[in-house]
Order: sequence, then C-alpha cells, then structure tokens
Amino acid sequence: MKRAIWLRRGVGMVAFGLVAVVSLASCLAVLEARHEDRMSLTPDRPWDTRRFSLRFHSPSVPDAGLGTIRLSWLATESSAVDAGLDDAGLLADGGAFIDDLQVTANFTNGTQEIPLLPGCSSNDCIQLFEVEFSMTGQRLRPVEVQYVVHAESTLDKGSGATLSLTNYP
Amino acid sequence: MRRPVAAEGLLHPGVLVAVAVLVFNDHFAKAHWPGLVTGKLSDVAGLAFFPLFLQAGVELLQSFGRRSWSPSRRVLMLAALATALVFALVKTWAPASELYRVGLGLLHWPLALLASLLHGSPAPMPARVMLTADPTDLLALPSVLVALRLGWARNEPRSQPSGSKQVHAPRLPRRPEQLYRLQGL
Repeated sequence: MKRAIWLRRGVGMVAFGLVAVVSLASCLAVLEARHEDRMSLTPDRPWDTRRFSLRFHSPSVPDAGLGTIRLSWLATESSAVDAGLDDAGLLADGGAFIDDLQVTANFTNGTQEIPLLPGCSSNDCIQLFEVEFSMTGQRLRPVEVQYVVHAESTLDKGSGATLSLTNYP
Repeated sequence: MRRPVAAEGLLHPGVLVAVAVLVFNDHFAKAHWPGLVTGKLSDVAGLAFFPLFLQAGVELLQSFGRRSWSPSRRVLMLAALATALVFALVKTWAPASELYRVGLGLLHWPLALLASLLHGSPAPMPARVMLTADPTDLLALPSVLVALRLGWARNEPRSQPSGSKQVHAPRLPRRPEQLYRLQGL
C-alpha cells in the first residue's frame, strides 16, 4: 500500500520535474559564436595580436545583456624537449584585453572567461576586442599557438537574435 | 473513490500537448517560419499549462507535508491569476522585466553548469538573460483560461480530502418494519 502511494507520488514528481526542465530549456536559447585559428610566434617576432568584432543583432531586443567571451589556447614549441617550455616562459604578459579588463595568461595552455556588456545602438550591439599573445625570454624556436575564441549569450527564444564573431586585420 | 495524486494534473493530455507545442515552436517552428504566429504561439502554449504547473508544485509540497489535501479550484484560480499578472508585468514594466531576466538566468545557471561540466569547459557565472519585452504578447493572456478549463474537472469539490480516513456511517433501514426486524421485534 505504502509502496503504491510512493509510486504514484513519484509519477507526479517526475512529471513536475520534466515539465520544469523542458520549459526552462525551451524558453531560453544560448547564442554562440566561435573563431578558431593558429599563429606562430618566432624569436624575431615574439608577439601577435588578433582583433575581433562581436556583433549581437536583434530586431526586438534593445540590449544584449551580459554575455561572455571565452578564450582557450594551447601553445606548443617545436622540439620542445630540450627547450624547457615552462609556465612562466610563455604569455607572461599576454592575454585578452577588453575595455579596461585585462586577463593575463600564465600557462602554456588554458582558458579564460571574460564577461562583457556590449554597447548598443538601434538593436545592434557591438564589442570590439583584441587578443594579444606574446612570449617572453630568449627563445630559440618558434612557438605554435592554437586558440579558440568563443562568445556566448543567453536569451529568451522569441528574440530572433544573432551573434557573430568576426576576425579583422 | 480513487485518491488524487499530487501533480497529476500535469499528465492531462491537454497539458502534454501544450508542452509539446512549446518545445516544437521554440526549437523548430520559430527558426523555420519566423513571424507573428510562431512569435505568440509559445506564449499561448506556456500560459495554457503554467498555472497547472504551479498548482502541481503546491500539491507536491502539500503531499510531502503529510497534510491532507485535495485538488483545489482555489489554488488553480490563484495560480492562473498569478501567472497572468506576472506575465503582464514582465511584458510591460521594466523593473519586473529586469527581475525576470535575473531570475531566469539564475534558474538556467544549473543547466549551464551541468553542460559545462559535460563539455569540460570552465564553469559559467549566472548571467542575466535577454528578454523580448513585447507588449503585444499580452494578446496571449486569455490562454490561462485553457489551464482553468483543463484543471477544472479534476478539481471538483470533494467531501473527503485525500489522506483523511473515510468514515462509513451505518446504513439505516428505510422502512420502519425493517427497523423492527433489526431490533428483533
């Protein structure tokens, strides 16, 4: 008898949980934009900068709310066996600069997440930012850096918004 | 008499259809046929089942509290009223929209956290969601009446609330001669 009561109560709980998760997941959309590339830092030119434009456009939403930019990178040095690539050797003062926020990347690979609040005008919100990679110290070999810039923002489904990430020279 | 089950109202075919319409519209129809109909359909579907969802939450709390309860029309009507009021405020009043954005962001955060754990990406912070505060969405408000219609029959007044013991009164004979017979007269 008790078992039957718990079984029936369980059915109700499962229905409640399912409806909650389904409607929550359904009413929200995560907009994503991604750019993946690689660069080579050499002893002659130990730094490089990539510029991006993140554009949020919506016919109905006047502001883009809070989004995030996530930068992931992996640096490898050719014939690194004897080069002794260490945490402090690469990207000691590199990172992503967005307005007055500075992110310093201290590891040869890692991820950094930065909140952003793009400036908006007429349903277009644009955030310009640049990512600077540099290596310090005397290095003899080129360093290959693979990186991914990933931007995302969460919004309700009805807005018909788009998010684009463009790399410009 | 069959005892009611907490949150059973969510298993009504009408509710299941409304949830299916919401999911289909949000995940497929809006992208393929953007326009007025798909723009309002999710609001209509959501308002059609959300009061029953709220009522289901109240019933679950009551059933865990081991209080005797029965599906209540009053709770259903209050849930419908609250749903309509909050929906209207969110669509028309900036502070309510802001609160909704923060609240929905917080509710969505555990899902985002779970997704990031599964993908091995860093844990995200709770973020305010964007919201389309379109006052013409108020056209969908009458669909809370659908929730009342779906839940009304289940919430018929009952003499015996669930969880209380039923007391069976002795059946009295209708005719006096039967009464004498019972008494051995």
